[in-house]
Amino acid sequence: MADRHNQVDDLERDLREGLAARPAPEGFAERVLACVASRKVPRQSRPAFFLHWRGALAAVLIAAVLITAALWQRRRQQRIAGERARAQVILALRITNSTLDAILQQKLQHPTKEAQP
Amino acid sequence: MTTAAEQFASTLHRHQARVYSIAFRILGESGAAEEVAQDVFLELHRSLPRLESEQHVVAWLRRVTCHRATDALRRRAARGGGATWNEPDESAISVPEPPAPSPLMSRIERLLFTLPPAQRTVIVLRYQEDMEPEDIAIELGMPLATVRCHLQRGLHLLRGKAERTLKEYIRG
Repeated sequence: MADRHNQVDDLERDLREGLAARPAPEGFAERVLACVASRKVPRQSRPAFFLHWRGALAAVLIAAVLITAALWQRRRQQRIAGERARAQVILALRITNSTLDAILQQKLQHPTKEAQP
Repeated sequence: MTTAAEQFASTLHRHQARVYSIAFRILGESGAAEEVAQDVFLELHRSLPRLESEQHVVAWLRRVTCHRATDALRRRAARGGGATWNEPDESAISVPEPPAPSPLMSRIERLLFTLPPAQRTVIVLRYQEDMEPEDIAIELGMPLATVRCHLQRGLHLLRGKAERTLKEYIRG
């Protein structure tokens, strides 16, 4: 039992010694730094990307405002046209009413003419 | 006052051997290990502003390296068509490239590459990084019992192989 325990201890000691960190390959750090530097290029172009999207967003907002204004103007014109038509109908009804009143007055003043056979 | 770039370069130079060694000993191949180590440092470059202390950086590097190397092993297994790991014969494993700085390291690494990946990962963290099983469990997101089991089984397998070859090699 003690012998086996010693074997494990020996093995663990060998593992600690044998598994010391290996040096990284020659030029590894330089390659990583170069890769990081090359990856910065798209990052630098990010503002242009955002400006592009800002422009697109502004265009969409302006288009939305123009469409809303056009729709509002069209509805206003329709409302004005509707009010005019309504006023004309009311005027026509008043004229008809006054004409009928005049005919009724005439009939009331000369009732006998129509009553005669 | 150091800039972010200087801080990253300093961290890279300090920890490159650690990250490369973990990746190499999990993957058993220098090219793949360098690729994983490079990916880890590129990710570190993005994450470094969020890491508060040196201890935090070391823990982050260990965890991400283990996960990336394990993913690379899975991808390699998927490409090879084998879903399960088969124990290779130690004599069939070539001497790791680039050569280890010492004969003991070379021998230990050859033995290590005969272990299943999970046992290998735990043993690397335990003996290369000198971590306690509790810390390994936290960093790998494994139950402590699983880590202990991998350690015991890995050591048992290594002891069996070492009994046959290691002592003669060291003493011889």
